[in-house]
Amino acid sequence: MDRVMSLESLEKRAYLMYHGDGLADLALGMVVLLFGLGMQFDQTWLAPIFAATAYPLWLAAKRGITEKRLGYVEFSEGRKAKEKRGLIYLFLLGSLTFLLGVLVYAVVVSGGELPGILQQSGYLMLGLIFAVLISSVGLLLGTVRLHAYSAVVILSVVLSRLAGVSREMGIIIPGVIIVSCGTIVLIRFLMRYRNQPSNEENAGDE
Amino acid sequence: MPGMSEEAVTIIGEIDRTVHAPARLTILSCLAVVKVADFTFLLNQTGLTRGNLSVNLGKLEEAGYVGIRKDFVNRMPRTLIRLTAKGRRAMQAYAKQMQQVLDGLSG
Repeated sequence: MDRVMSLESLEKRAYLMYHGDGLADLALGMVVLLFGLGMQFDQTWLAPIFAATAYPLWLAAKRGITEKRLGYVEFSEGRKAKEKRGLIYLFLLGSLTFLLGVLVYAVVVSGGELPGILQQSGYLMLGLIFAVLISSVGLLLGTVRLHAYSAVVILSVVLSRLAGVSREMGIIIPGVIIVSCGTIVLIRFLMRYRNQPSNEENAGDE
Repeated sequence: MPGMSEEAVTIIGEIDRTVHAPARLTILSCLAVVKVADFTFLLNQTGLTRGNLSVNLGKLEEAGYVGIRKDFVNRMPRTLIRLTAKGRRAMQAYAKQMQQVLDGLSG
């Protein structure tokens, strides 16, 4: 039993190390930040476009930054299946949010009136959606830090409402915080793991 | 050895030396939790030097405990390593033997 647990912790350590590069923080932070900035400057199309490209960008950054330093690894089938389920869930959540956004946009453009709950608590709901999204990625990657970001997002939208600050700032501020934290984590990662000259070594030749 | 059972002494003699070496045990443990990894990943996970890792991988490959495959990604060579079924069985046998030895020492 102890042996199994020990191997489990070893696998978890390897997985956390592989995702300890801050790239997920940066991607999520950029989605939140761009959404807030888009609302502030009436350029709401910015965030959905970035959100749609975030995953391929993240994968490319993973190959270009993380793999070059940490090396290439394929985790176990069980871990892969869990990742796949998580990605499907995130895709569904993202699609649902996007459809909801399109619906709200269509109502506003056509001069219609939004339901009362959306008028009063639209930003709170938006903050909640971001928090669920960020926490879901946190669960998927096993990163506790992302759950803290979710709390920051919720706290920020609630406080901005209570303090009477612009609602957009309630989204922009956590976006800036997440991007800043992600940048710090990435810099620490880059300083800790130097770029390897090549993956090649005469393994087994000596 | 006073206090040690005869059985434990016999088991110590049967312990697989290929697995028993700390560096190789570390490599095998790292490979046991992933499907496949490249040389750089093992280098980071084990904390061994390039030379030490290379030598020990060679011994593990010789014993048939790991499979080493070389390929190219964007014209860059890459060494992929995986634990073989024989390697996994050797690890399990080693763990069982060590447990028996520890039981013998304590009893």
